[in-house]
Amino acid sequence: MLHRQSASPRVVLVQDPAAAARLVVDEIADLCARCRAEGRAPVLGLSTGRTPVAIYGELIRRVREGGLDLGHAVAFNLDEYEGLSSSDPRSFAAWMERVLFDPLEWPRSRRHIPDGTVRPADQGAQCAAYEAAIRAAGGIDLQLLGIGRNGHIGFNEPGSDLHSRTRCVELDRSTREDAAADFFPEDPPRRAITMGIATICEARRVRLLAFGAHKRAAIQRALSGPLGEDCPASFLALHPDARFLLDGAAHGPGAQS
Amino acid sequence: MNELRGRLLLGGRLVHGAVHWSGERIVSLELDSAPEHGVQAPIIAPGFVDLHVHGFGGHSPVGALRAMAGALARVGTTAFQPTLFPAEPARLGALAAQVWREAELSNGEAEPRARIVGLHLEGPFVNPLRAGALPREDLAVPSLAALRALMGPATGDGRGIRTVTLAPELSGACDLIAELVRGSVRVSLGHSAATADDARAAARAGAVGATHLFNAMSGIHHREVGLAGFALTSTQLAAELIGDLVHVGADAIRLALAARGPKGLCLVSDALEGAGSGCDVFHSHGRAHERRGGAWYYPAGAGGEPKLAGSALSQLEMVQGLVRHGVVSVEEALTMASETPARALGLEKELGLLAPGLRADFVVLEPRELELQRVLVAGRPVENRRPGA
Repeated sequence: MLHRQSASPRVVLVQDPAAAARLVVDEIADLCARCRAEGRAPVLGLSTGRTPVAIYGELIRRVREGGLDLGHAVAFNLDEYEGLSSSDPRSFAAWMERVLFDPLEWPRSRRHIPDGTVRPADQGAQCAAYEAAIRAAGGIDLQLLGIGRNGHIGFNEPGSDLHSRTRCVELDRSTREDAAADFFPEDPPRRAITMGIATICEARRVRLLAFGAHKRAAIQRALSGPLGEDCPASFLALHPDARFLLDGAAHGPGAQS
Repeated sequence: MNELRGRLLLGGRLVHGAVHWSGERIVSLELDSAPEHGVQAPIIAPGFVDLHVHGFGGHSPVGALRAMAGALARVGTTAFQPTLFPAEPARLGALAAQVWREAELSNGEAEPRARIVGLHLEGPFVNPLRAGALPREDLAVPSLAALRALMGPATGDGRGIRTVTLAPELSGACDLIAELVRGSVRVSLGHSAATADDARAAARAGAVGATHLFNAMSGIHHREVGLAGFALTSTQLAAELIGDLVHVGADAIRLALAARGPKGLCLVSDALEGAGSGCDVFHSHGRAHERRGGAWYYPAGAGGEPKLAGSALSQLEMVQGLVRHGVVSVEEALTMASETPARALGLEKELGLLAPGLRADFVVLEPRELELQRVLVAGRPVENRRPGA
């Protein structure tokens, strides 16, 4: 039987994605300052999609204004579609370059994302190497997450094991439907490489963001339902420092719409 | 970033967590899924919103509005409608303009005082037969000419009139309702002998409130439920409720709550200027008002029974009293004093709730006796002592 941690995940209600971005970037700035004092590199777990766009915009703004130094930061992305190379504009690797890495001239040596073009036979080795690279960097200090309509985090679809690690997975029908517009007229990919639930839960802090009424059911399930594989985000209740940053529409009850 | 931690009033429930603010606005609310402090944690609620208050702390809106706003803030009322008694329309209009000028100055100053969100005119177009404590000689017959004299030029000259109490059964009153609604003025039905049908017609014409439910209005009879009965059954009207347990008895409050719930009832003080002054007697309208229990009375003529006027309590004291007497729950009392009146004014995106983006107006209450520990207005702490006290 799995029990929720006493105060986790904490829900933080904000007005909009911009307000959430300011809070998260404040936290990243504190983290970077502390790491500098400790003489080590901050390690960020990054995600893709609409949800974190405001965060990356705010990161770029603060770096350009001189209030934030990401010079030593190391990035690990959550996931990538199988079969897409980083030169494919629909890949998460290309998306990260466009939205964050290129504008900040983030050095290649300090950013990691699973390679979608690795042959199936070699995927096991790539996934093990990805886990080893995270450990070698000292573990992830702060992991950003979104949530799928089906409760997925990363591409850990319903059914994902609490102890899962970086691996190849089959994508859910609802996940592929949500991605369809990005791939039209082609079919969206069927498989992806993703960090596992255990990988995510080893990050020292987890910050999940969700905005809009279409996320409400998944958020409600993750926050108040039993912990279970049918909603992978529900496992974040086991994490000692997980926060959900939500707008009123995503949170639902008790908040202003 | 500033933080208050405790039990937050959210959606009519008390939830453990913290509210964070920066400058004048709430930035975020943090909710704990499992409490660490139990019921000992202080209660954090939105500052109270008073739709109906004639004066406070020895101050009246005419001439001493800033002092009144300061005194209200010290007892947790962080937004209010200064409420003016009836007068001849042109004179009342001029008085409103004068009060609103001071209101705008007060609102613009950094001093943490209760925000003045518009004026409430209790009359003059009300029914003399239901005048209650209003001076009958100051009432007026509804007419568009009288309304124009009251409201000023169509372009508006800044009279800040947000709510007008009127009696819908008076001849011509429905035309006035339509005209007021066109001018974005809230119409609250009161001091009225209206039948339920009169009230229904007024609601169709755009009336949105009922002024001090049960007081100075047609009461409930099972074949004619009157204005009180209509206000209990229509979700279109936000009903003011005086919570001093003198103006409305405990069972009538329970009845109202059963009918409308805390989201349909606005706790109003209907306080007169002597409230919160520490005095037991004050003079107004040339009458000596004496305090008895939670209300003010004045002698009605030779040998007459003392007549009940406004209340002598703040919204805070009403919340405390209603909860102490087991009439309402803490959550209900706080909702009726903050969120419901804010919604009634259409200000729920600005104040009256704990929600990101809204004004950082808070009351912090000790959880057992609901003693007031702190008040913040737009993020600024309110000094707890009266100046000079």
